[in-house]
Amino acid sequence: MKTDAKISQQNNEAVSILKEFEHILKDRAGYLKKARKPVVAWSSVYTPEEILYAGGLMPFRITGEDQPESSKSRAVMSGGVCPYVLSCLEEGMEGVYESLKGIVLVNTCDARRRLYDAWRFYVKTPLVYIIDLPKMTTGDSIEYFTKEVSLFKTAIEKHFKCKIDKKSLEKSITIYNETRNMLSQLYELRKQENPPISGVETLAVIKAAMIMERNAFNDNLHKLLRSLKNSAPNSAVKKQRILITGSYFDQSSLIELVEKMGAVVVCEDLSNGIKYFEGNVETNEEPIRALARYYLMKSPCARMVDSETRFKNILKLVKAYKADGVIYFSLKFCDSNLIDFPYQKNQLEQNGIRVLFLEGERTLVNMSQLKTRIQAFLEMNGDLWK
Amino acid sequence: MEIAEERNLNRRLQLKKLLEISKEHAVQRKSPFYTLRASHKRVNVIANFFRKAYREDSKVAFRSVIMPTEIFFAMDVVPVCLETVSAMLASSGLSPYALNIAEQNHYSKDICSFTRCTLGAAIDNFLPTPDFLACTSYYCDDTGKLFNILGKMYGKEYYLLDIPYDYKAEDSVEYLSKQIREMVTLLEKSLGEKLDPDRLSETICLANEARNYFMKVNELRTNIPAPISGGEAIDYAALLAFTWGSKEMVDVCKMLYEDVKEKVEENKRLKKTSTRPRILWRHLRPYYNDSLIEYIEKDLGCDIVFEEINFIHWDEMNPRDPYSSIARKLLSDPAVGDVKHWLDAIFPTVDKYKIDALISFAHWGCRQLASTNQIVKTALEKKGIPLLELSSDCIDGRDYSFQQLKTRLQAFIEIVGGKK
Repeated sequence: MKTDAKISQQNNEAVSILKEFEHILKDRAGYLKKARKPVVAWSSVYTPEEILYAGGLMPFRITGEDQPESSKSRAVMSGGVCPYVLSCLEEGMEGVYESLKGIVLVNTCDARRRLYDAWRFYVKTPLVYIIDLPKMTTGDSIEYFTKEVSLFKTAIEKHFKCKIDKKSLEKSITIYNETRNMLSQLYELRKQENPPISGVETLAVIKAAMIMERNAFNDNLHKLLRSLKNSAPNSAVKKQRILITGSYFDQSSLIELVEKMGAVVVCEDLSNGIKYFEGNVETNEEPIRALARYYLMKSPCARMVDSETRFKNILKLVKAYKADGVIYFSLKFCDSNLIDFPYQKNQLEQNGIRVLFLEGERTLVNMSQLKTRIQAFLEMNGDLWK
Repeated sequence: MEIAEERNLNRRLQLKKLLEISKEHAVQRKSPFYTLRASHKRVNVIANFFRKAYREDSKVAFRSVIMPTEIFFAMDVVPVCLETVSAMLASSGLSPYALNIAEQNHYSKDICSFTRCTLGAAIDNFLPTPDFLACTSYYCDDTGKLFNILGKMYGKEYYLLDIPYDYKAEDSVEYLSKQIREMVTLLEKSLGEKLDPDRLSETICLANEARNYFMKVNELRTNIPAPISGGEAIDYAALLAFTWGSKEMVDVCKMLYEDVKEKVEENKRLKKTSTRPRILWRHLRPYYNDSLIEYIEKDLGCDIVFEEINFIHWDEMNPRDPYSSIARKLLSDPAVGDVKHWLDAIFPTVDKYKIDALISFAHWGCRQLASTNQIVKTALEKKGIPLLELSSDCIDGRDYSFQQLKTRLQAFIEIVGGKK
């Protein structure tokens, strides 16, 4: 069954922009090779990208997509480690990004902490840096994280021999806030009964945001938004609305499967989703502190200790996007998400929201099995918002 | 009913439940390794603390492995180390029962079995209801999530000590000290009583005293032949399971020192020597089955001469500056920060104990350790020390395959024996 929630083929401008995004994502290494600035990878959405941008660098999110099999990294880390982390290390060991001048990791979990160790040991990247991230949000942890962000800035300045002053940071924050505001507007469109953009298409937009040169992305997104807002509404066919939450997730095949079965993915409570851009960095505060506060106070994923705060945020999103059900996706060996799942499931079900748990490797296999499970899940969901 | 009475009633029922489960599922096992008076005393001390935790009038805190216990003893709180509880359940044959309950409640089998076993025990309600819960962000991600969930389950306050990554920075000491003070404030509020600073100084002194005895034991263990078997020593797990700050632990360490000293003197008197391969052990062991360690020490004729988990990495604490001292103790743990911290601890140990090989017990789910084994292996190879990684499980024996481990061990020890 075809989904009607997608960019209309009549909207030439939007289709063309999306094709451009998809073209870049198909050859990430090729795109980065043409970058005119030193290329620096980052892994976690807790990374203050603005600092890299202000330092005249080209930040991009490492995804591991080019090396999903991870045979070398498994041998040096362990087979029982997050497949996303293994695939990232594999990309490093295979030299996928020839022009890579640095990689920034955040101490979000054991796997990424050890990725830092393994990267330093096995990959010859000129700068390998780790930012510590508190597990709680208190006054003291914000102070602590502010110092961490400041140390990070100093390290970037020292290594790349650049000066990141207040003015350049403020400018960088403004540009990134512009991205955030536009992506928020895009997600607002998905609250409509028939969103003008599908989950698959939205994922492509988010991933493009994480690799493209910032100004170029903002220009394209601005045009895309304008086209979508001006386009005629999709035909009024009601679809079941699904929210996805969980681990690192970039499986467009899964979203496509859900949407081909007649549902629509309306929101992703994920790093490749709303967590990348929600909110704004304060512009009337000292920039380093503002960045620290913004990144630490993001709505929590499972790595932050308090499950209740996470649940409240998921519930808020379910209500805002009128989701009929939640797919909770965990990468294999993602301890934070695996341990948090029963709590989140219980809480959501007590609020009348059905949850489907899916667990997977870096790339999904057993699609027919997944199809059966998703089909059963969609059939069992009622329309809560009739 | 008064809240305290309800809690007390809970503990009576919880103990009753544990006894019923034990009657149905437990197996009687006696450690084949315990030859020293101190080892039996240590077991009794831990068992007594655990029994005390079920008493109506006890103040109880659930704690994670490296959470300092000096503060708890200063307030007469019984600290229950949840990882130790999992080990005790495994040792008694009760871990499959608890693990099944966890899995029936949607906790994945890929989660560390120490965590799953605790969760199962808590869900089935045979752990003593705590008054407070406290954990640290190391060693792993599981800890904070586990304690957060348990705090909600029991409706009790919990505190996470978030240990900074940079273990060398003075700022880290300050940040962590502040958190420890905050934890004390929360503990005081939970118990409705204040911590007496003099009591805390006392327990710090007791921890120092126990530490000094244990360091002497560690020195004695450099002697050849090994005065204590690894099978016996592993269970001390000083870094993890010790009740630092209690008078009982001072007595255990003092007795241990006397026992080991006597053994060393006896060996010297008898002019005993040994050419057995000397093994450094990384992590823990299967608690439901002793065959692995027995095989290494008896059949393969090796000596496990030292264990990472008995390495005293911290300086004597200052009783007049307890919070900073405790912070420094935590930060000095080799598991904190990057893998270099670990390597800096392992290299001198290898030299000091004249190690021939390292065996790393890769407990399933302990990703933060297993993912460093190859780095440690490569680093040790430069010193001519081989490393063997044995993948198995400390708590979940349902898929335990001794034969597989045996085959790998045989081949490895042949190489080690050949090098000597």
